[in-house]
Amino acid sequence: MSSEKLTTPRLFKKLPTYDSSEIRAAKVYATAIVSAAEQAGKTEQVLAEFKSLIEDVLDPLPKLDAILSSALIAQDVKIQLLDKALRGKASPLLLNSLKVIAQHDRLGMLRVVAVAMVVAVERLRNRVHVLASSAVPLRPESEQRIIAEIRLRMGCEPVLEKQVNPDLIGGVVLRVGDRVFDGSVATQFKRIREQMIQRSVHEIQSRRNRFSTSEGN
Amino acid sequence: MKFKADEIASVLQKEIELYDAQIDVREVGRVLEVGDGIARVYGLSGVMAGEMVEFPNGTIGLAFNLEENSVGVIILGDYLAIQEGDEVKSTGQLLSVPVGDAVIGRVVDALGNPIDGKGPIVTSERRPVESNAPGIAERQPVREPLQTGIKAIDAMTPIGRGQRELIIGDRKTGKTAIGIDAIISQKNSGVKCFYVAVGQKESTVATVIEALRKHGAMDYTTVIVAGASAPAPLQYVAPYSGTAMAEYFMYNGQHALIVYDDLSKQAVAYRQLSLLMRRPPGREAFPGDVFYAHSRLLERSAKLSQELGGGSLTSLPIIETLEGEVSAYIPTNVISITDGQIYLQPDLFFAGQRPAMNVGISVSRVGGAAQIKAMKKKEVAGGLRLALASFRELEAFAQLGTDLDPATQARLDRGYRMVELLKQGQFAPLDVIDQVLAIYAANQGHLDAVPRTEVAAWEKQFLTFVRDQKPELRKAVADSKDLSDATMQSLNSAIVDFQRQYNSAKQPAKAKVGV
Repeated sequence: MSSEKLTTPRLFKKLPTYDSSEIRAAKVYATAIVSAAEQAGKTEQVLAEFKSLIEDVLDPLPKLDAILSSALIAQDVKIQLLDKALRGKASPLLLNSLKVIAQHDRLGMLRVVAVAMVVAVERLRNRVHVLASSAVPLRPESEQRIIAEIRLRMGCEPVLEKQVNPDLIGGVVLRVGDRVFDGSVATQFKRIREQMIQRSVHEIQSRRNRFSTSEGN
Repeated sequence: MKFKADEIASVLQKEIELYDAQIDVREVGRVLEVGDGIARVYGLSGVMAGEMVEFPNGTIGLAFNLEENSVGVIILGDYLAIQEGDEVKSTGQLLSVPVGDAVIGRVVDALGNPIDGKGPIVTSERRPVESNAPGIAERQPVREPLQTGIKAIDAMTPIGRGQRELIIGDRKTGKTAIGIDAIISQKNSGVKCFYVAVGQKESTVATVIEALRKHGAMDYTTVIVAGASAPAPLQYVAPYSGTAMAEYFMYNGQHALIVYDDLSKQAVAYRQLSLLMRRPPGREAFPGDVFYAHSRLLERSAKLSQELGGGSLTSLPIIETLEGEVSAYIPTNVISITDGQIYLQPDLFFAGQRPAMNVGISVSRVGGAAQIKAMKKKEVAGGLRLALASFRELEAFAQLGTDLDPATQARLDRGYRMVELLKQGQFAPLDVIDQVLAIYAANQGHLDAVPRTEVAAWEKQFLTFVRDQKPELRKAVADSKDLSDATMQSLNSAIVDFQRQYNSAKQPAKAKVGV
């Protein structure tokens, strides 16, 4: 099930809302677009264009986003707008896909479709998205080791996204889907602290005299 | 007290030396929205229903709703410190509470954390909060009595060990008082008691704890509190936690009594959770599985078979009705689950009959199996319920003011005295042998000549008389738990003796009672 999940952190962050029925619909569009693109052999190109549409156009122009999502604006106006703006710039396949989405009044969920597409493509290529956080930037050789290890254990090609988080103190935390492999020093400290408290409480309670002297009582 | 720093340091050092660094593998999700005691979490794809999850501040949650793309979590603790975007990790464990002798005498919250300021509960034993009820093969019929020390209950709606007897009534009719008296009455019986306070005012709970402490009942009682200010998830979980603690004793061949005060508030808390989780509302907006919530809770009360040690868990669930409406959703549900009910009525309560039990519609479906032989005798409480019911009918008829023949008048007089005898103060549980003696005396007409206002005083002195002057008689009943014809003979003559003493010493005795 975890491969079904739409966990591509960077795109996810920008999802404005979370709506499970929307995600379900988005998966359908994403699958359709990806398989059409696959037949034309242009999957990577379409995906890159779609991402760029969101990151380079919709993100800096929230008003355009609002127009596309608005129910007050007629479908054919939106389609014309897309046509004018993107004809000749985007590949015909992407433009057609957008028009289909517009026809169904679903332009408000373009970001969700993009995330679903990323997941669909990753699954198709047997790739898995890995978020690697470390206290200091990873050296290339440790990066290679991580990639090799994941490839060996999970049987698929990891796509590494790197993050530097000094709070970890040391070590590395890998997140694959919903699973987290945490080898950070910070977590180790936390665990040893909990363990000490848990074990010592019992000992201190049952053998108070060992830890304290009677003087001052 | 001074601490030895070097000793503590050495223990900690050992911990560090022995620490085995392992990679922490966990399954995580992200909080999408949080509020009103629930959170919706994205991710956690491998989490199981009912599994514990942990929020970054250490607060625990329960996976409640598994949906296609998100998980609904109920938060057992402070939900105000949880933020959108927080990482939630699954623990792979079920919610459990500490059990065993260490929890006895303590006041704990719904998760078993002590809240009485008496230090941590030191025990390694825990039990899952939700566990399956024993099956048919693991049970045996209820047959041992559980004495509540309340005459009206022990005589007419007896409760057996392993039974579920509902206490139902409007607000302020003495429901809690019956539960507390039943607990106080277990003092020398070895029955461990658990009082689960759900959705009640903290001040009320404090009063109850104080009463239990004052009567020496906290030595064998655990109080589980999820007060009115506790979040709904804790109010929902508290009865299950209390049951887990009580079950421990049942499965160890001991006997336990649990009072749920009250399940209507738990149902309301569960309704709140379910509505927030968008589960479809049903009748009175309660979710469809509110029946199951109560049935799986109360089914855990049982009398175990001899092979399993013969332990028992008796439960006294309390339900509060509105304006005597027993046909509302939750009351009918719980009535159908339990093995009988004690129905308390405000008009009886205000007429001075306490416990304000309506004898006509209170029943115990386990009944006679849960009474000692002496109590079951037709000379004692055998026909008492029916007799009282026909007395009530006759009383209503007599109010029409018609002239009554002497026989009817005699029946009325007997009834008035019996009703008077069944009145009992709070925190004054009566030993079952004393109950038998008093009810026998009234039933055999020895009280007919005693004025109605003096019945309580007569009873008190009579019981003292038997205790002091006829100990062998009392012992004979206590040992055999039965009333043989010979015992009845000597009891009759003892009563005649007492009547003589009572009448001659009436004036000074009266003065004494006034004290």
